[in-house]
Amino acid sequence: MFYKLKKFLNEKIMNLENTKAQMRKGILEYCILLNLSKKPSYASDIIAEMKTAQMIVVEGTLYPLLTRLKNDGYLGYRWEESLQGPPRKYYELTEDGKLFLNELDMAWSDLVDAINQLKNNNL
Amino acid sequence: MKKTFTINISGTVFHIDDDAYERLNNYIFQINRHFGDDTDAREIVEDIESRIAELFQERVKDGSEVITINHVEEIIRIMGMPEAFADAKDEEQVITRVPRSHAKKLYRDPDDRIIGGVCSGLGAYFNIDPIIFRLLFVALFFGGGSGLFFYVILWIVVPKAANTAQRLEMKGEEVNINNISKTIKEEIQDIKENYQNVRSNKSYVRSRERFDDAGSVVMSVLRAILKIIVVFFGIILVSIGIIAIIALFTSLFVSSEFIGITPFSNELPHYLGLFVSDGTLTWFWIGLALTLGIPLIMLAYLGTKLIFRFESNNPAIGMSSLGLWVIGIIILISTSVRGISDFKSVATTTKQELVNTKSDTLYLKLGTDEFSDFLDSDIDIDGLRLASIDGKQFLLNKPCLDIEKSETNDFSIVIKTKARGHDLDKAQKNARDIEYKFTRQDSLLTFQPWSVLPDKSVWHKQEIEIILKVPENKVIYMDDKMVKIIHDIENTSNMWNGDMVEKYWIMKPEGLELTQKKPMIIETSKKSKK
Repeated sequence: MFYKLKKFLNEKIMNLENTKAQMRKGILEYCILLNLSKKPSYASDIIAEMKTAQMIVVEGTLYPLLTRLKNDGYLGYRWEESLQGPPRKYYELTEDGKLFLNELDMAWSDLVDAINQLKNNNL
Repeated sequence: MKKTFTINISGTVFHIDDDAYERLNNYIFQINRHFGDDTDAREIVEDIESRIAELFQERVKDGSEVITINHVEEIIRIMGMPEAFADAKDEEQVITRVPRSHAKKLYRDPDDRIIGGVCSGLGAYFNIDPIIFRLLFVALFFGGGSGLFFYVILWIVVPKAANTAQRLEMKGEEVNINNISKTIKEEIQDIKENYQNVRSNKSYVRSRERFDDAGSVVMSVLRAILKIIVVFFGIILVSIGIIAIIALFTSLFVSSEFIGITPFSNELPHYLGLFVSDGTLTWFWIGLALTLGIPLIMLAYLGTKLIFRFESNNPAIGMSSLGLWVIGIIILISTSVRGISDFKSVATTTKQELVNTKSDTLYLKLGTDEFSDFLDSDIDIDGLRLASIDGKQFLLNKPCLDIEKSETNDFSIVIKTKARGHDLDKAQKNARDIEYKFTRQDSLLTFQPWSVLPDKSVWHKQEIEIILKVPENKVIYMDDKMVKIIHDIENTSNMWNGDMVEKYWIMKPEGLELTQKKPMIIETSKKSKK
């Protein structure tokens, strides 16, 4: 009986975590572009910011995403010498990236509006 | 105390413990496997590696510290397992990519391909050497052309193993004898489940899932059918192999009428014994058994491999059987050469015997043929026949009778025997060994229809020629049986051999001439001439 309850709760928590992860993943791209719109930065900086914003759990998530955004033409990078070690990849937004970010900005506002509307209607 | 390695991650040198190295290596391998091996993937992996280097650097500040397993575990916790990397767009793909415990998928193998990698993919799927499929396709191509058709279809339909994950799926889990039944059960279970899913989904109207499930039912049914076909094929190979081996050895060494479907007549050993001497024969058997037996054994072996789908990692099996096979062929060739060299020299003996008779006419008669009912109808080599009476075998040589004009006034019989042998001495001995008998009672000559070769002797292309020398104006008469041994006797009437019997022939200066009544004409002709 107790075991079943525990299992049920575990499943609930798993579901919750899963949904949260899905939500984060959906907007992670947007977050990265936002971050880079302020200044060019290299992967570890982005990671640090995303971590403080609790947007990512594991760092590995970021790299495939950066590569994909770069391949889609929204990001570019240049190599910069570093004092502490090997040269670093500094990512920055391209023109396309900026346009894309504008689109995403609008989409985000729409989303927030939609959510707020739904919430208010429910109340 | 621990062993350490020096490694280079993204241009920075680290000292790392043995176990930590193992763990890290495994982790990077998993990442590699997750992303595959296209250029994008390489870039991602490089980025991740440089981040790992950075993280290590933060932890071992002065560079002399060694990276331990704890460091590696921490880094892995930070970076996360590849399954968690999924970016939103790749999500679906990644989920399908998570491999089931022993799901094996059919891919084309780009690493080991000759044309499109279809055969190597099939080989990996069925865990057998792709050469089998290649040979099969080539055989099918030349035998009707369907091979090309199937190949192209498979080339189009079967996906290429593009990344490491797919390559691992292609090779799948090794299957051994113990879990065949398990796999088959699971296969059946899969089919059942899929089928049930389809049934339970019937309430949904034309849902996408239903199509997918129906597809996977079809696929698993096809897979099961394919497996059954392969096993069936294996069973056939094993059966053919074993039956053929039994048949081969029976026909070679036992020579009973045990199995009718032997590649040779089941009397082969007996026959061969008549042509080849014993020593050569033994070697010949060994050579033949090896050259024919080894491929059959390999056939059966391949069959068992197909049935049980095990991989033999022991090259000794293949190498030693190949070696034995080559030895067999060498033995076969050398014995053949030796056998042929037994026919190198040829020798002839000649015996002449006068026929003292007062009569002017000789009657030629063929003795009773005591072997005629026992002759083996399968064997007739240059007049050499085989007869078995009460289990005893006789090699019979058919003589050949010719009639010539005698230089003297007497009848005479010349018997020429001819034989071959390894050298002249042996050839002469073989020729002398030929015995041929005829008997005479006054003017009646009785020829034996056969010359029986002495016991233990073998065929050496023995020939017997009987030449009857007939003086001028003497007459001969042949009875009807003589047709069996006479051969191309010249006569002035140009009469065919078969018609020459039961007639009187007189020797004239031009040759044999047909004559009607014997003594009278002879007398008159004699007189007329004188």
